[in-house]
Amino acid sequence: MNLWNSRARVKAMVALSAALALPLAACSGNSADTDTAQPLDSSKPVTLRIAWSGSQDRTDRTLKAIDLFKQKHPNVTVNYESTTSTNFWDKLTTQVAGGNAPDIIQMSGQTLKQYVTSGVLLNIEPYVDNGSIDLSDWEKPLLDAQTIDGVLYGIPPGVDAHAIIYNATKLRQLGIAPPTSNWTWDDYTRMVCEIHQKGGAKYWGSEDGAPQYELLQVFLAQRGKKMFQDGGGLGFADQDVKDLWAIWGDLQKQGCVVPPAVQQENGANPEGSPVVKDFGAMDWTTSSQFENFVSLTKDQLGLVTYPFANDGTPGQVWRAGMAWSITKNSKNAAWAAALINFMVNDPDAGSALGTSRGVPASPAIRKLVEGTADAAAKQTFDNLTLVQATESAQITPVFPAGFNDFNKAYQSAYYNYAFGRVGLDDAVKQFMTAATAAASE
Amino acid sequence: MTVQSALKGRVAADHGSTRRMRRGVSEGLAGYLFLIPWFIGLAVIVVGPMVASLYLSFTNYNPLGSPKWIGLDNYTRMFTADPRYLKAVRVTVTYVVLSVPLQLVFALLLALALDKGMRALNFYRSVYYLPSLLGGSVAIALLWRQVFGDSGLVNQVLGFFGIHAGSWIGDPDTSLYTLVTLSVWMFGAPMIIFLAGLRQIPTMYYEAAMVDGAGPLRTFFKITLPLLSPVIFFNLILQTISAFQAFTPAYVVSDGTGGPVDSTLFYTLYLYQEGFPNLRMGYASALAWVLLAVIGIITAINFVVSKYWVFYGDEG
Repeated sequence: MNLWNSRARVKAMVALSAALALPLAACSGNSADTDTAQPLDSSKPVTLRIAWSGSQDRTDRTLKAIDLFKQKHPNVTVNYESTTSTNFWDKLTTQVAGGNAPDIIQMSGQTLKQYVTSGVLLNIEPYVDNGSIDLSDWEKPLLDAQTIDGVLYGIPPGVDAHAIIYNATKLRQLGIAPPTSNWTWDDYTRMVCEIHQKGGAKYWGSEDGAPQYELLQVFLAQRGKKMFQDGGGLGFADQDVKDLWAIWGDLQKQGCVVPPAVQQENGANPEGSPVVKDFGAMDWTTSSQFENFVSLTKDQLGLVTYPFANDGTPGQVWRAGMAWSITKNSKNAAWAAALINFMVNDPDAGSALGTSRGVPASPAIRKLVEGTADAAAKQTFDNLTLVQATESAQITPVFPAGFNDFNKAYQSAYYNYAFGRVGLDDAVKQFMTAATAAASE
Repeated sequence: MTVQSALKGRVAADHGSTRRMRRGVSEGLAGYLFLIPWFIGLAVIVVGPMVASLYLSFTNYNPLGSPKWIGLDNYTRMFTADPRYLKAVRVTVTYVVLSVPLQLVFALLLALALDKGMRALNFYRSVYYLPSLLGGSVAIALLWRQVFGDSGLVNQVLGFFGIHAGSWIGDPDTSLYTLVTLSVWMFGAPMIIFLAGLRQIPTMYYEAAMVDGAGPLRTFFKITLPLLSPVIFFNLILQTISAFQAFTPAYVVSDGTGGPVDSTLFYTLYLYQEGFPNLRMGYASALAWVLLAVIGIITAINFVVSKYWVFYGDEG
């Protein structure tokens, strides 16, 4: 008999086989706010959960530091969760919504405010005041970058600077002198076109840096402006974005930089970078990525500042873009604070962690780690020193809660322009509308 | 055939004595007891979250905080104030309309070829089914990026013929079609079902047709196709539903962005982006319910239309 020759049976099979997916959603639960420090009790066993994202090297080094902490405090058990950065935030969001967030989270400057306004993070100040976390010799701007409405929500483990990584081997082969750290936008555009001319049709001078908000940040700093005003709202106008994108539009027209289709295909991770995959000589990134890049290619790489304005204004930007934060629902906030303090201030932990989260933020640890740094790590120290020494160098401030929407609108509008879907004016208008809404969030 | 004999078995059991009937009741109870774990799973993992997401679809819900009731705002926003939503709908509909028929035709042609009784049939059946097992995976989506990349396999072959194309994945004009190709390549599941369907068509019809002097084309259109129509219908519905729900290929090939310039922004990918990275879980829930409604309506339409082209043997 034929399995298929009855209407009822076909219907039943369709019903059986059709499974419809709906997103799972859980109810959220937040525990009470505490603005006072808890005491540290070594007599009871304590379990801490800590979560971070990043490379395997970072994970290995962090685990080494955690082991050192456990040796000093045998009553503490530390469970860790480490994932790639894409999965990290999805997982964390779900955990927070489900009321089981880790005690300690490696926050990012791009999401800090979102988490604070949603009431996820604990005020860390009581633990600084009672000496659990020692920030006495720390630079103030680093901590300001983790402070919202006068309250400190995170302890930055490291510092880095906006920087360009270039393929020194390739430049030598092409007979082009490497960039120096006071080069200008004109130097940059000239150099990338020269690289493309000498390098061949499928070798480009540089990644297209325009979709990265960091370029806008520096470009605005060179005009004495900021992305966001201190009291909220945008700190720039249509014309600023137009001027920046026009530079890139020209470079695209001349074919000097990686075309948008090739860039989209290779993605935004270091593994897909033109420098690593050898189809372009420069990558716009941050200095803390340098050692990672070095490990991904055999070529010799160099690190240089973002180009200065043509009139010589540096407008350089550095950041303390990461922070260890404690969640409000943590039952062992005092121990969480102790572990954070150990990771950022203890010399042994500092040696174990090295530059895995950028140049160490604590001045004492920075000196210690710099003393034993290898050649590549040494370059990240030098680059940061150089950037911080430039005239009116800025540190990246706390971004508004709507930054994610702002950033996505920026990339989307630029790519619409780069792919020729819309003209420059329309692309900028499209971005500014979304950006204005996002900045007020 | 197994269904048939199972049915016969049940009929026999129903006609048993009262003693056996009583045992039937306790057997039924045992059956339900065994079903309890499944019912708990259904309630906790499927029905519970569905009810929750229906509620959330009427709220403004940042999963880091708590939901706020906003009535129908999510639903009106979708159709009046969200250009990306309309883009996602356009991309998804294009994908469904192209990939489903192409995949079914491809699967049917291969099933017909395999049905000719070639040697090592099992081997070929397994080989052709492989892509369906692998296709939804991350590894294949990554491979696709290589094959259709700027210096990928496709361009190397084209280059051999003097054609120089750019990146198929990175170009917004072609990126969606690489995903359609990926879906067509996963023809294995419908092919196996077609093959089973072909095997069930009694050979006497073909013998009769041969005696009447019908050619192969005529035999195909007058005998194979009508008798296979319930199977085609079944495959059509399943593939349509799964095409509407396609997620992994676009997620992996575009790094979760739906790019370049939203050209591969599948509905489910947009739903995920809104719910997780953009922290608008209320809106994402509304998106999910609209998708459920649309799939339901399209399936219903398919059933209505099927009356005009699907031939069931039992309706003679």
